Amino acid sequence: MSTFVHDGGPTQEALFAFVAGRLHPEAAGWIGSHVETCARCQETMGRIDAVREALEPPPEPPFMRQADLAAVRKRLEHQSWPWRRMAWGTLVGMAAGVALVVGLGIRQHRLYEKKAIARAKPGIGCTIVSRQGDAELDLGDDHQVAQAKLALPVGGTLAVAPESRALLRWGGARVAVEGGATGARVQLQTSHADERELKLERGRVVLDVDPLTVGAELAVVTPEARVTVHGTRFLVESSAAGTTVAVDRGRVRVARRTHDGVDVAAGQRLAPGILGVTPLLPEDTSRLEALEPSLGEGPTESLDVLSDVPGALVDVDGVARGKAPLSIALSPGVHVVRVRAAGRLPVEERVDVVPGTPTLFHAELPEPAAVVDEPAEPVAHDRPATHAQKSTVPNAREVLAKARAEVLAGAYERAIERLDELQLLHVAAPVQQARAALLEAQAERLLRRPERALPLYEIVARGDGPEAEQAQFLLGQTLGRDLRDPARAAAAFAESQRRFAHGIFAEEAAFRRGEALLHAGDTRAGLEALERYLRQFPSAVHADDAHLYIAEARRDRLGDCAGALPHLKAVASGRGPRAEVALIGAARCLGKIGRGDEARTTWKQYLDAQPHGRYADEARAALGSAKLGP
Amino acid sequence: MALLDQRQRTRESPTGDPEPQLAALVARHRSGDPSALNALMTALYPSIYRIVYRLAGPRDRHAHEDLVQSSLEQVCRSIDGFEGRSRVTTFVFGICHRVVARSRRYDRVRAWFKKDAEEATLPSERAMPDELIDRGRRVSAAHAALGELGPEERAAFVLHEIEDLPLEDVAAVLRCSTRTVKRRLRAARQKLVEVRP
Repeated sequence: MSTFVHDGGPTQEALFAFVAGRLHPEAAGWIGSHVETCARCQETMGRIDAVREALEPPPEPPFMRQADLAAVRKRLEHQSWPWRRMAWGTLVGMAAGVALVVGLGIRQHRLYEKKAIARAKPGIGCTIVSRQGDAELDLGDDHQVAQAKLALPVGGTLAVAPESRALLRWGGARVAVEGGATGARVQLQTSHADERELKLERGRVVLDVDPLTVGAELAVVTPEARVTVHGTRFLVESSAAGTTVAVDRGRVRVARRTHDGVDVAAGQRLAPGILGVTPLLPEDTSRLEALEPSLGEGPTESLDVLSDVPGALVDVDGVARGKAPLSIALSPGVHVVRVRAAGRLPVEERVDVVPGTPTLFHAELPEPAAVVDEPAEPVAHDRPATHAQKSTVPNAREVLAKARAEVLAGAYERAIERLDELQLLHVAAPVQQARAALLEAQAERLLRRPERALPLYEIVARGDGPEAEQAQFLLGQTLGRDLRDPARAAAAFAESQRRFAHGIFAEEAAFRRGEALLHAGDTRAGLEALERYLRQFPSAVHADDAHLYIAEARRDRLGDCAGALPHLKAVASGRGPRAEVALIGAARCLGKIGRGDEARTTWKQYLDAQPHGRYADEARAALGSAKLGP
Repeated sequence: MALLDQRQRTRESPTGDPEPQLAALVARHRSGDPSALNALMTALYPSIYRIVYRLAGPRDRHAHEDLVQSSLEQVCRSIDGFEGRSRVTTFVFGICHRVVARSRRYDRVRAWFKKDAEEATLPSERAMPDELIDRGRRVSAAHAALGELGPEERAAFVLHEIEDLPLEDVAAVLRCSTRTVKRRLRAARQKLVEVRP
């Protein structure tokens, strides 16, 4: 029986349904007008609202999703039969099942054994140890930056940008994927103890493989050759000219489509266009040796180093580790990170790498002139400050540096207190006040209190200069990413575009506005914004993403496959990591709108380029199907 | 009718129904597409993150993360057995409910609840405007009231009132009759809105 809130009033059930918006409009109208004049119902509504608020989860902490997905993928890969996690009931059921199988006879028993062996085949995890430059994991519809400690699952692809490098640990093997001049792309095809296969679509891989057990095999497959090993250090490079193999330890077997198989021993290389093996070249030796120091057994945590100067040089504990942006594996503890670039002052910080969570270090390298322009303390006194006065009035720049170090070390509350004190003392120049507010807002976001960061960004955004532009952009990012409010995020990005049309975030804000509008459900405005973005910035960083967003919205929301097609083709014709997905999308669209001949040509184009690709079966099925068109 | 307008606006969902996308991903996975499972995990993550929080209540990040990972792992292991007789989200919520229920069997869960209740009532160090204090008190009281609900009552309440699942789907998730769901809902509503001393 329903419980009434009070005599003559609505039931509790009706009030809950009213708050949830489930009531018929007439009933909602009656309850709405009743509640406006009834104190008891208003009180109950207040409690219902509080319950709903209490059930609102906090925003996802940074990187939690990536870490969780990677952990689950790893568990699925490693623990194919989860005995430990089984409930007793399941175990009892299984025991009964086994007894039944035994009872059914030897044939069934053997079949069961075979299945059990297949299930128990242990997988070998492939984990990113470090990244230098840009690299991306392509996991079907999911793309993510290749960060240290993320797993490359079977079927997943790692795309490494030109002049970039990623290091992986693959069981007892260490793998470096090098972008070289053209970029590299590898796919993990099989990863079991007795059979491991890495497909090299383009670029170069350097491997150091510990001796494998008898019968086990590790292979690198290129379009022309299959290189198998049993324990060695070697390099495989796939280019337009063909496949190059160089070995400096052990021996590898190379099977090629057009030639007989050949063994390449330590100190030898096999290059396209040259008959037989030749001695190693010096550059082979240096590439092979470069694998050695980067992959010790110790590092278990990851540190991502970013810089406002792309390509800034990064030293960790006095050792050069490459160019920013980079992601490296380190042991937990305090490390000295130094970032430097020509024409800027270097930045050096002690960074505490905490176990369990990825650590980010963002270095803003000051320009020498900017430091001179910016007084450490404003000239507020007519007479020179005495030594005693200097010791009591805090130096704003020092306070900022300390607060920044505290934010990096995870002491967010302490940093916020320090920055609040700085604001109260009025000793900071306006630029420093703006920077302090930006840092405080960042700390609030890291504390999962994005709502407190908003007013700080709003205050700074009201000013001018690069800090205001940064604040306006970050306002949009906080609204969209942290508070999941794409409509307000779009408005903030629009304001950023209006006020800072030629600023450093202009391109990013234009793209993010379109993205936010689509997320907010405003398809027309989102499409218009993204199309304008592509016109305004033809070689934009997010051009592929913008094309794919437009294609997806046109196809899925407006049912306009013909409109989606040019955007899919634009991505498919490029060399980006999403080209393959876009080509498939284009083929599907062409089939859907009845342009069967073109669809067939596209599917064929895909099959020629990727005869063993992920969509090869679908391509063959489509080519054999009559549904494609007339 | 300002109140009515305001309530109707909160009902609008900007993201739309994710069900067709999830069903398509499940179909792709079952047809052997190796990338579909990863895409499905990514698509399901936000719902699992949310529902686990709502079913289990606030706890420290690692405990919450453990439940999210266990639920996601269980979904991946069970997805081959999904017969398409219910919505994918209903199937997933059922798994999350069982994972959370199993975690309650451990004694330490009680300790978490106790600690969270203590933390929720700790005074904040920062001075807050009066309305924020009032709001904070109301939310703390709501946390305490939610803590008093039995696990099945809480699950029925969260799934129907907050996640908007129809009664039949809630019954399927909780593996009971719709009559039982109604009874649990009535008890939960009563406990959540009654005046406490």
